Amino acid sequence: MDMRITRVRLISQIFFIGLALFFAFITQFSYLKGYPVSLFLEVDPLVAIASSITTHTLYRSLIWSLVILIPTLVLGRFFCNWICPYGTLHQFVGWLFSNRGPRGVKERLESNRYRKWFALKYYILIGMLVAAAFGSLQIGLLDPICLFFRSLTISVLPAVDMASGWIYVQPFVYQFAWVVGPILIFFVAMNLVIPRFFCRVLCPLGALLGLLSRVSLWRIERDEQRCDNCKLCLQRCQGASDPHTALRKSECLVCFNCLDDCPHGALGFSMLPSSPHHEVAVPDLSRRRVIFAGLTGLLFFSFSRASGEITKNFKKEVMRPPGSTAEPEFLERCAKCGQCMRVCPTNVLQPAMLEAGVEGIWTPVMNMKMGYCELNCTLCGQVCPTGAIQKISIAQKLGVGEFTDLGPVKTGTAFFDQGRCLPWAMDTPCVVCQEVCPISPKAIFSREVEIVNRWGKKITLTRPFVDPTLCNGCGICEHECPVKDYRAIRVTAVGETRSRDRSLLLK
Amino acid sequence: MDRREFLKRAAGAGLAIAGSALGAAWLYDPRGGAEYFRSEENKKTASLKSYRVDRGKGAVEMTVVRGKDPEKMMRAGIQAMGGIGSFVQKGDVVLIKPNVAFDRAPALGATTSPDVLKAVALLCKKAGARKIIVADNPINQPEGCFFKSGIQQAAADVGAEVMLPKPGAFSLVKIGGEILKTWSMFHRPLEHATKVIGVAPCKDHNLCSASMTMKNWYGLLGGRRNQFHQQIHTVIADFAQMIRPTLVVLDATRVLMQNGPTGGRLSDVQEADTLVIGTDMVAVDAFGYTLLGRDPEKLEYIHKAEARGLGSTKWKEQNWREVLAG
Amino acid sequence: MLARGKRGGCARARISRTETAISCMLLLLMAGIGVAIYAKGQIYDPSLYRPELTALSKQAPTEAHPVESRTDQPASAGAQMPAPGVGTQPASPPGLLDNLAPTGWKPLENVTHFTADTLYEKIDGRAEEYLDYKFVGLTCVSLVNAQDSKQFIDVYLYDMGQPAQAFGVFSVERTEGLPAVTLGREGYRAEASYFFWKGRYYVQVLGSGKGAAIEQIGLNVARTLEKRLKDDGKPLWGFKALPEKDRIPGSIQYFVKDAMSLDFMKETYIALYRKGDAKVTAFLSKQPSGETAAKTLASYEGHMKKYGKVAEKRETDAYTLISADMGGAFDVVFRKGNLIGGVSMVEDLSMAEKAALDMLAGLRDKD
Repeated sequence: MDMRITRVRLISQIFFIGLALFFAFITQFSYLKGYPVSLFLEVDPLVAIASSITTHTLYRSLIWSLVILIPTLVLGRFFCNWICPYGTLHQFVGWLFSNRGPRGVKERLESNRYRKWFALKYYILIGMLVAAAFGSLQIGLLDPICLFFRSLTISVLPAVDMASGWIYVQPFVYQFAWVVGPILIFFVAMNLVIPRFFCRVLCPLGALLGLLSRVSLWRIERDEQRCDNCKLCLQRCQGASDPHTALRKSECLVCFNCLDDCPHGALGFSMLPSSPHHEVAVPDLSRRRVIFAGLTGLLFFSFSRASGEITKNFKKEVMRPPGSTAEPEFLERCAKCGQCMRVCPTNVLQPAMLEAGVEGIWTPVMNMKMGYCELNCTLCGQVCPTGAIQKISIAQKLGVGEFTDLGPVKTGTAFFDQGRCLPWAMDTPCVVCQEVCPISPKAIFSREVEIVNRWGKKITLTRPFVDPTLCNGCGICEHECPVKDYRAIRVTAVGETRSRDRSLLLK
Repeated sequence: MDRREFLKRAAGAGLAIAGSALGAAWLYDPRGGAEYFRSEENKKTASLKSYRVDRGKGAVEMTVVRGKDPEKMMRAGIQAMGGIGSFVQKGDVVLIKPNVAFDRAPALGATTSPDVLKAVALLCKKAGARKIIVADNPINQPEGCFFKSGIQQAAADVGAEVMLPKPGAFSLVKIGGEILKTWSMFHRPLEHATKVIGVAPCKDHNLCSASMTMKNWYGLLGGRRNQFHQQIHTVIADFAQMIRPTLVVLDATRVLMQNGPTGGRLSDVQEADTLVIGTDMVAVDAFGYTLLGRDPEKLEYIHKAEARGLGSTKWKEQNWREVLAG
Repeated sequence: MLARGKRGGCARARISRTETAISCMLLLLMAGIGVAIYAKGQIYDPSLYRPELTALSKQAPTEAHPVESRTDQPASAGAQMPAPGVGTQPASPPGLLDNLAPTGWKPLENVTHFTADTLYEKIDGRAEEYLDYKFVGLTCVSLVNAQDSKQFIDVYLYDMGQPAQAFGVFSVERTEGLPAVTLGREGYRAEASYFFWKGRYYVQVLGSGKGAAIEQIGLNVARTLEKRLKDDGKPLWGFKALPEKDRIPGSIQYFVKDAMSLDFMKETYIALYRKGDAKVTAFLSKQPSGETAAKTLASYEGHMKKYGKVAEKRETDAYTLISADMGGAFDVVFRKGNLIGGVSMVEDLSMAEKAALDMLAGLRDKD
């Protein structure tokens, strides 16, 4: 058993995908403790760089991205084949369905050829970074770490739980799992057409790391004396980086497979190129296309903001988790990673489709039919890697102790629909809403009225009202209301404390 | 076609025909009745047995224990009733049903005090119980509730098993009440239980005025519990019909005096340093209501239960004791 | 990935030492990362999972919001209270009734104070009873609803000097059958009035009229005051010395004189017991000395001879016991050291004697 570098790389891939799945599994109340479950997102340089472009700050643990960034500047895109769990998934599926035997050599050589349209990922990156410069963080749509965790949360884990019951105590479901799941399947399935399809064609993180590889000191080096142009180094080349000619540094994923596959031992990993024309440092980008990509990013931002969902036409259903920043800043920070949705104990956080505008796709919104915000819980803020949801303590959320002057964090206000409420419209006693309201004194109060019902009998009804000074928008009233199809008390976004603009009462 | 081929095909066809015929016969449903449309009696339901222990006439039926140490209080109270041996025997599987409905800290008085739960569990263990199960179907999220109320730790400290209300743990149970005929119940904890002890806090309640040992059984039910509020007093009386526990303990070490059943501020809670242990949950609730400073004559559900013969509100006339413990 | 297309053709059969070294270091690095992540997992702020009680205890007082009963009632009921649970400091006695009025209520006049000499000015003939119980001082105040002066709550705080005296006067004023409340050591409610004792204080909180609203306000006033009163919690002697078995709760009384209407029975605890269908009275008194106890016993014996017939007198080293037929029912009295005790009005002589002997057996001389 030798300690060749490819073996260690494989162990590393297994280790990190295992770690990522471990994190995905333990991101819930009972197991979370102090584990850094958002670590992969926090070391992701694209998340760090893009969010620092939008917010002009580097949020907390995102500084750990230097751990990936700095070695990349020296070693190249090692992250893609040593650490990235999504990359490992693609490589595994590709390997599983490939023709591995000796007869498949020609097929494999062909599939690992560089193609010009692999440059697409750079244009995607540029578009996203330009949008970020104007204040819209969209990298989360295609960032591999965000996509990986989001897909696990929304589609994969609920499906696993349906089959086994191992994940949740009471089953969680997420809206649009039918969109997110198939997207994941599609990208993974494309590995049967082109190996590492996502990594080579779409991944904006890979593009970023590829651009940063330009200055890397180490690279795959081909010894021309030994090389006989057999092209066998392409057999299992993960990046399609042309090690057989001039290595495309920005495409090389540092998998070291070519070292093992060369029958003449002509390849090595060394610091200085023996001859300059042996490497292509910069990706093959056309200037026109770069400008076009940038413009797309800019126009995307302008047109989506011009649709008004952030300002004039903000939707009442868009209630953000407690501790969220105001909406414009929220969209500068949210990487759509789904960690908050995963850790939330009540399943209230759901991925938005277009409710929050096109910029808000897959950002978290509260859906009170599916859950409510548990009063003594701030787990969402603890796992948010970018500070879209700030890390607040329970004392701050409740507005007690040192936060008494600041008051509690409110995510909305509840309103009664008196045409549907049982004691209001149907002469039937109820007030479950008041019972479950967790605030003391209760944010739902009641008045007793004596009426004569339709049969001539005098009955006393307890009719509930909302006290907007106390209501924090948690939504348990809406969640427990027995008028199950369309609740008689509904929480909407007005009155949320994160935005002065959306407040209800004069302080 | 040669003979062999013909025989093969004929056999295949024959098997297929036989299979289809048998399959059709087995699955055949001439009445076409969907599950929902079957009358309640025909639905597959479980029934609850009585967990009461017959201790003969003259046994003490209720004790009111005053003191500061729940373990000493439980011991003294049970002692005055004849000792734990008269309720729990060696080899019993005891279900202790606390109120863990909300994710509150114990000091807020909205859930059963973990010290009281431990005291009850320790007594059962002393009596030789084989296994102790702690279970409840909370209104807030189960994991958070068990943890934040301290009940999870208390159960771990005494070696009791906590059962969480997972979907497969519920069964349709026949209750036979006035409103509740059959209902989905968190049945798994009861499957092997031989004794059941309810341990409920003493709380103000916005709708039914007080939540004590009778209301506590709400936490064993599932399904659309949020409909009970439309006839809350009759439903609570139905609880007394639904389950006949071995004992109930009213945990009035703290009393939630206002803003119940959720509470939320320490000022809602009063220290009352009392435990009420009894075999008749109606009587215990009648007494417990006075701890809230209210008149039991006015508590509707205990009188409904009494009218149906499920217990007596006249605790004073029963055989009861007051005990001062450490 | 591990399968090689051409095993024989691979020239990397030998791995350089550098490569092996780097590989090992990388493996160690992975192990280190695993350990670090596990260690980090054990470090976390517990207040995330359990709301901090210190934060809870610093909650804003209830001043901003009315104390609620089940449903809101008209204005007078929505009265507000100074926060009962927040930062209660035991006030020095002069200030005990200060700031007791709920918001929307006010004191009719200043807080007034009465001594043993001036007590009768406030409560007329009833003063004598309190004076018997070694009354020290009375502080009182009358609170009235600012919007409806017909609603009032009178608060009487009797300082009786000793817990036993406070209990005594509480127990003799108590009527049977009233609902108990958890106030102080013992308390009960009559309509909208609350009576309780705590430490050396006996308190009456008397509300006007009836109804859930005024009851709630009165209860809150009583609770607020109760929290200010100190009590060392030491159980009273009589509670422990009288047997507990079959004792009817709430029946203990302490008489400083005239227990059971006998003028020689002073400083006596009496309690009722359930024996089958009948109720039996038992009594116990700790006299200042053996002599006074003997004198009391003699008085009792004299009383028995005068109004009944002595059945038996037993004298041993430890105790003296006399039983008598008092006309259909039996009394048994004993003296042990400085203790006098016994049972009264029992139908069955043997049961009476047994009960008395049981009491004796449960006593120790220096109790």
